[in-house]
Amino acid sequence: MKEPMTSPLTGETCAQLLELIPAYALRAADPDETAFIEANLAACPQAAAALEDYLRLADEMRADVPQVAPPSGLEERLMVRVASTTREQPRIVRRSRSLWAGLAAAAAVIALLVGTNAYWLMRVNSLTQEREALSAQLQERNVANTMAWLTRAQWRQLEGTQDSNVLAVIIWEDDDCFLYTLNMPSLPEDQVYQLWLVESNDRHVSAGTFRVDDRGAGTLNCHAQEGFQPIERVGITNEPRGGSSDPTGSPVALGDV
Amino acid sequence: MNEIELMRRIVRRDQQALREIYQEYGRSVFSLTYRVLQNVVWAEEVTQDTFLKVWDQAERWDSTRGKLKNWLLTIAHYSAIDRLRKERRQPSLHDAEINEELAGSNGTWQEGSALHMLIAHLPPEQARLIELAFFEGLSHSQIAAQTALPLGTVKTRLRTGLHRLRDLWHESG
Repeated sequence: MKEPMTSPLTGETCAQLLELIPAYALRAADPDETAFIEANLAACPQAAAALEDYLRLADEMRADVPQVAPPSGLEERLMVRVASTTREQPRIVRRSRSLWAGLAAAAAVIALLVGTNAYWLMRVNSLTQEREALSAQLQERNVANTMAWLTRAQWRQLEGTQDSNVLAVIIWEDDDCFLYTLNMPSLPEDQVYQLWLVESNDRHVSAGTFRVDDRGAGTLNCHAQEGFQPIERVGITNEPRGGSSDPTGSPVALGDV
Repeated sequence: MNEIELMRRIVRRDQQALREIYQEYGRSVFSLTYRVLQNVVWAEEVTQDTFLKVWDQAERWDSTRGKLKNWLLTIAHYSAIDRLRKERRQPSLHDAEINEELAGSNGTWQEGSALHMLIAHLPPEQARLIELAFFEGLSHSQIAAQTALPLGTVKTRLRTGLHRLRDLWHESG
C-alpha cells in the first residue's frame, strides 16, 4: 500500500519521529535520536508541524518562570563589559562606522586641535598616551576605510561650561555619531553623563549615557534617529544612573552643530 | 519599542540600543538563568554573556522567525544549561546566602503563572521529568541514570507529560 502523499517516509518512521519530537524540542533527545530526527524531519510534515508547536511551548515555558529582579548594578556591569569587549575585540561593520572608525576620527580631531590651538598644545603630554594607543589600534585596522570615513565625517568641539579643562569632541556622519571626552569631572556611582541632541524646536533627544574613567576619559557610540539635519546643539549633563528622559542637570559641556 | 530598529542600531555598535534591550528584557533573562542555575553569581554572569552574544551577533536574529524576546531567552536558556553542565552540579533550592538576600531584598518572586498552573495538573512523575529535561538540560538517558527509571519509562513519561501539557496549553489559550 502506498504511503500518503504528504509523507514520503513510511508511516512507521513518521510515527517514530512524532514520538520523539516533544523531547527533541526540549533538547532532551539522546544524540542518536537527534540524528535520526534531523535526518528525517524534512520528509515528515506532520512531525515538522508538531515540532513548531512544541518549540512555541518551549518559548512559553522560558518566559513563564518566576520573575525576579536582577541584582542592582548588573546593567552597568554589563555595559562596562560591552565597552571593554568593544575595545578589545573590535569589528569593522558594514559601513565602516565602527567604534574604531570613531576612535580614529577622535584621534585625528584631537591631533588637529592640538596642532591648531596653543591651549591644547599644553595638553599634549596628557594626550600622548591616548594617541599612541589609538595609533597602535589603527595599525591593526583597515586604515583605508577609516580614512575614508574621516573624510566624510563632521566634527565639533564642545565647550566645558563649568570647567574649561573639559575636552569633548563629537563626530558624526549621517545618523551615526561618536563622542570622545577627556578631563570630565568624576561622578558618584549613582550618576552618569548623558549626551543630548537638541533640535531646532528645542526638543532634547537622548543619545545615550556614559561614564568616565579617573582621567575623565569617556566614549559613546551614538545615533540620531532622524540624522543630524535637525540638530542645532549638543550638550552633556550629569543624570541619575540609567539616564533621564529630559535633562535634569546643568550642562557640563555644550556645542553648536 | 521597535525591535528591528534597535537590533539594527546594535549591528552599528550603538551601546545605547543594547542598554534599551537590556532594560526591556534583562529581568526576564535573569529570571530564566536564575531558574536554571539557582545561583545569583552564575545567573548574572550568564545574563551578561547572553547580552554580549546579542551585542556580537545581532545580525543573526531574524525577525521573521520569531520575537526578539524568544530569541534572547533561547540563548539565555542554552547558555545557562551549558553553564550548569560546566559546573557539574545540580541546582539546589538552598544555595548560598546571597540567594536568600536576593529573594529577601526585593520580594519580587511572583506566583506561578499560567503554564506553572497547567504543569501542576500533570502527574508529579511527569512534571518532574519535564523539569529535569527543560531546566536541568538532561537527555532521556541522563534522566534514566539520575532517576534509576528504565529508559523506556522515561521516554514514555516525558512524551506523555509534554503532550498533555501542550493540549492543556492549547485549551487554555
